[in-house]
Amino acid sequence: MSDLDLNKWLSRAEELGADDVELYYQYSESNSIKVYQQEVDSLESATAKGLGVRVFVDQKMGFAYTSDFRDEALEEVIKEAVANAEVATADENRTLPQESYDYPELNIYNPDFESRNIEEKIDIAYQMEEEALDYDDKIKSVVNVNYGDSIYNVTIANSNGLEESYQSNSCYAYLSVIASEDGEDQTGFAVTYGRDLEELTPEETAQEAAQNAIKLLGGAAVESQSAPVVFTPEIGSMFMYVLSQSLTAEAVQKGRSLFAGKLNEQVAAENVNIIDDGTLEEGLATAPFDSEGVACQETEVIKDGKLKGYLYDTYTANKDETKSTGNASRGGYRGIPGVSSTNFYLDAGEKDKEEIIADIENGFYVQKVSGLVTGGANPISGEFSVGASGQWIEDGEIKGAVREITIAGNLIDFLQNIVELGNDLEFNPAIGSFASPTFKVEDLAISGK
Amino acid sequence: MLSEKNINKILATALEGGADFAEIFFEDTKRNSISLENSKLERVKTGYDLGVGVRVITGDQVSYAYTDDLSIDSLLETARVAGSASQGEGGVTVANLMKQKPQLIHPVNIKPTTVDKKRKAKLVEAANGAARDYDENIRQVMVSYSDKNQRIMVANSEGLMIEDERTYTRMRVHAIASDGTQMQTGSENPGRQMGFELFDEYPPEKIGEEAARQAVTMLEADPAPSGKMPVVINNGFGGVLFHEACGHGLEADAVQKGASVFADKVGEQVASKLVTAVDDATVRNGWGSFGVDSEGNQAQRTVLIKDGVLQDYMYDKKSARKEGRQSTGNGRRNSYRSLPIPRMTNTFIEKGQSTPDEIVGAVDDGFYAKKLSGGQVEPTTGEFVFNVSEGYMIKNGSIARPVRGATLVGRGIDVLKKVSMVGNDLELAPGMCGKQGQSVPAGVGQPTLLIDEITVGGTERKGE
Repeated sequence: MSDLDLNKWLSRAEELGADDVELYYQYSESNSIKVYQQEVDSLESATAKGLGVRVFVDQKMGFAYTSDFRDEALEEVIKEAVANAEVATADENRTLPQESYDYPELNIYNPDFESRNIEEKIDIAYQMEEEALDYDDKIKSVVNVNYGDSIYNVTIANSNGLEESYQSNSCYAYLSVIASEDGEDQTGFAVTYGRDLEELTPEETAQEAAQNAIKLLGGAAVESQSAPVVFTPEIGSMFMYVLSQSLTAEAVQKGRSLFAGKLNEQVAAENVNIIDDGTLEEGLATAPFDSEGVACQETEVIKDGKLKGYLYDTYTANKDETKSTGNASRGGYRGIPGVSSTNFYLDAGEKDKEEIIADIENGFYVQKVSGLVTGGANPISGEFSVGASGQWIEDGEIKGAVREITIAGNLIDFLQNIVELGNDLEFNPAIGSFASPTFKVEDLAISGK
Repeated sequence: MLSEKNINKILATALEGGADFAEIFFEDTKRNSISLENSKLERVKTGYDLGVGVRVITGDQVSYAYTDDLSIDSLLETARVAGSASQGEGGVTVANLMKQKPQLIHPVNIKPTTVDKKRKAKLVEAANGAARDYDENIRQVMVSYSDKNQRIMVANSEGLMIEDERTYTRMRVHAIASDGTQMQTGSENPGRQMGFELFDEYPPEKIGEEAARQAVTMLEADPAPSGKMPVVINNGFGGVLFHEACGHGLEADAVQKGASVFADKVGEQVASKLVTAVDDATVRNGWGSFGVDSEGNQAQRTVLIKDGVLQDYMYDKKSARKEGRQSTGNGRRNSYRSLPIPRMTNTFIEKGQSTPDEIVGAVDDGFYAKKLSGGQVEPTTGEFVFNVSEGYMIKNGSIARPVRGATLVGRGIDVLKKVSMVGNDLELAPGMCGKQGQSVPAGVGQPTLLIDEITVGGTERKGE
């Protein structure tokens, strides 16, 4: 797919001093639309391309990228990558992937999407805004309505003879609204995504955002106490995001994981299964191969509460003398590959969420947290403390909104105290590709009044 | 750079759909970074970003397209894409381009591009060594060095044509300490808009030691208590609280959408009389400074709050047009890939009269937030949660035992009203500010402040 002769530049890099070379080419077309009060506020469209060059010289790695494909610019970027390698520390585990792989066939590109025109896309945003405003008189305004899509193509070529491509697309729409009552404002957010416009659910998503804001109105603080806490899929998935960062081999090997040295130990309650699956077609982080060309796969990270393994790329796998789990990732062509999760989720249980709530005498139903994904949880010590709002549960029923409280604890205690799992697994695309069902943690510290 | 002739052609093409205004943003950026972990130089990276964005405005509607292909055909096509989405009444033509210059230059003595990679690597290793030598409980150190040289050119259909060059240099050190039972972290991240001379002011060894000191100090800390109490917030990066919980609400786009507690409050008392807050892109070599903003406006200083009274908001071109006024020079963008939006530059609370000792001395029983790390804010309401990475209890007017795991919870506007003492020790600190997916360098800052009451959320359990 690339308009670059990758083989030519692989050879050129070898001539310029690289022992091994990898070229990561990315091409994308994207659109982003914002509407406000039934007018298009902004419309952005872009075609972008770029090349990431990774070289290995005497077991040292160097990297450079460019979006400038003129010959002299490509020559310079390769020279820079080689010069960068010369500065790096030698490490025998720095290699390209050595194996050849069978790649899964994945349905991650919908060609129908190409024929969608801009008016249809704008319409989705209009529908969402209108539906949210009409939903309830308490909805004071719709602050943001965004629609976005992208089609992208990735090609990886390396000096071990690999040259593979894939194409993928996605579209999404989200909104945030303000609900207002008696001088109090609350915001609500919701998002929908898919690989074609007809998979988007503008009306339901707008209603969901409106409900998310309205249900927090009239909230009061509660007394500080320890109590059971029920997590929605949206909030649960944010905790999965935090956990995923400690479950990469990179974090473990570098001593910045609370899971270091805990392999095969019981780190969670027995009903807890946490899975990373780069081949899950409904996920947003799905691809036939990872950012180094290693086949994506399903990896059971925690099974029946036991820590079974970590997420690996080639480097961390070499170090632990194991195989990559296909978890090399990079933030586009500008990034050096690192290790991160793909589609990462806490597997569902069997209960309806209503049953979970009905069992609680006195507890908190958390529907919004702040500060969690921005440093509120320490991935090393496992301590977390986050602002939260939601509903109070008494005698199995929702009593009213609660706000300005914090919930705090340790992530290991949190995992070991997951006592109930719902059957409503849902991905939260707002923070990557993380999912959880509704679940209950037996006991958490709540600080309020 | 682009020739004047081509600039004229591109702007004229962008206006073909009948738009009111067209603009070209050209960017040529080179960046370098070196990261160390486990005492190994692992990630050594160079990046080149070269591209052009074309923005077209008609009424309240903006359209934008960008390309990284600088051939004239590609640029004209980009202009057509942006222009075709913006159907207006027409009649606007491209004014004669008048070349202008930034009035303010932030001096760069040693251009990082002229410094050998090996010398940069040595600084990284020096910071690592100093952090590790600080204490035997230091188990891991991460150091990164980065520099960035960004050359931009803005030209628009009103005849503006201006170039700016921005050079950023920064070092970040993150240290992890462990005593075998628990781990704590510390970090120190100085950065300025200047060259390699940054390290004359901030020797790498000192940066490393400071990060290590925080981590080791917090090892000895007890879990923080919970509850409402007087809180002293340290100068410098403590200003991130104002930035997040108030500053974003003072950006005109939020105000115009009614998504700010500061909407319709100009002339009203929104803060304690002791509070004067400004946004100032002219701070010499400031992390968030520039010569001109990303819409070509000269850097300026804007008083946001004076003696507690709200004075003005921060505007970019689009939000200023909406109110028929001038931009305050706050139109900023991540790169040629992004639209400009109203953003803070260096935003801080001005210094007051009290010494830091007087401020701590005034508290019988309270909390001292010496260092804040991340935080999150609900922009509409200004409700915030901030993590305190280095905190202490204050007892009888002096700083007592360190406590860990504390968060500060509250609402920005409430906190502003509860400021009861303002220090004379104003200091600025660098941060990366994220908004609508765009990250830009932003300076935050304040003197030491006493807030009469904030909710501290801790992990200490009653009865334990």
